[in-house]
Amino acid sequence: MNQSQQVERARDAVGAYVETIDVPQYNARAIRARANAIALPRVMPRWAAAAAAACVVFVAFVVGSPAVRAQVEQMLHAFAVSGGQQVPVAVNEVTLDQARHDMPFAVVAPAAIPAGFTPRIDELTPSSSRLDARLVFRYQGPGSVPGLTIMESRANRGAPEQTKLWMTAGGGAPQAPPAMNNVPPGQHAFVQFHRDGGLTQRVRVEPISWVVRGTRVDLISPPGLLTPMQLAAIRREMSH
Amino acid sequence: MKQSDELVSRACAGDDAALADLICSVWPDAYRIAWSIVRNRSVAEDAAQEACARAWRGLKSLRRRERFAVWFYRIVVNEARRAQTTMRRDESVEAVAVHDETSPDDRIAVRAAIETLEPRLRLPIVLRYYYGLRGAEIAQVLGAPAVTVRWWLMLAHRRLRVALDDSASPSQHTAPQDGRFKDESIAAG
Repeated sequence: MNQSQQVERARDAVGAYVETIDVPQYNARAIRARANAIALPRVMPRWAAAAAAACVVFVAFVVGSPAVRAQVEQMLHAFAVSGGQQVPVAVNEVTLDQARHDMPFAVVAPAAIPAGFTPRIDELTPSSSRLDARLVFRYQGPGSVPGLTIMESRANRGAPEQTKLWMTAGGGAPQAPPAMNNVPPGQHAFVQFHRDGGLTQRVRVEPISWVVRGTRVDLISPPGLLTPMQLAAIRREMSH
Repeated sequence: MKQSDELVSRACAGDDAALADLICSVWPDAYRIAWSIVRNRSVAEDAAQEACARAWRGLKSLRRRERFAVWFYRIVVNEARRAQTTMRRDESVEAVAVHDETSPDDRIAVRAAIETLEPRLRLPIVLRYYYGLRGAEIAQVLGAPAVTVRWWLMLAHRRLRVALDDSASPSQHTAPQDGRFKDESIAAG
């Protein structure tokens, strides 16, 4: 059999194979119902998309005193800025199962986290809308302030907003959010260290962000905490 | 895919009747591609329905209407793969109901050979020969590099060659002189 005959027989055989697959009846009603249940992706101009990306991921950590970090309880506070308005955000520590029940998006369980990192899970729920809730996994690593942080939220959120987190070390009454002036806009996270009310150090962090099953995941790791391979492994394992 | 450009254009332009006709006409393709991946009737139907629903909702955002087939097949493949990951492995293979007893023995043998191909090799062959896609288009549908698709096609051809040769009549049977099966799809890729 020559080459063209082989090709012809292959085409014939594949055609026979495919056409004998028994196709169920077309169910227009089911497909219409599914189509109506699918949320359309927001179509916005390129500049608006860029602006949204720039705003959504701005996160800042402020630690009262790195020196006493290990000895005292840390408190997490948060507020959101949406449409220029500051919105109170409730912070509640939860379990993974509780988070799966509460969150308005598919919670992606962290995976491939290196040994030695102890987790804490917090729900961040703005008073304005539960749909804008976020989930924060904080991993306190050895010798780092703060540790690895993973934030999850709905991928197709509404208006762009900023979420700012700060931690106080030493307990006591919650402090007012620290000033975050002179922070350039962009898709960055910052770790800031304050002592006696003054800024002592600011470290810029490039978050790694992706979307899986309608959930946006932001992975924030201070420089030097994890290797690029470790970060890539986390992203890969959390992308299913 | 036999859908007319005019039907796709009307559907893209917001003609609801055309959209319904278009989705109905691509339903068999969606199911067959999904089935080729998941090999499970109910899972394939679910994936095909989801793909059709997504195409229904997303068609207006399709900018290059001449690319409808590749765009749609890609959606189907993605949905089928998603369904496959959630399907337990022991449920993944059903009794295959493609044997037509009226077919000549050789065709049954070749189709059985297609059945035994791994999904990564079977789907490119189906897209190439049944849906008439070129190598670059298959690469887009599968989300794989074109060179990888060409490799898969070559492997599939090699596996099928035995069945094709065996099924040929003795008078036609001539093994390729160089022992390799060269196919137009590789050259066209």
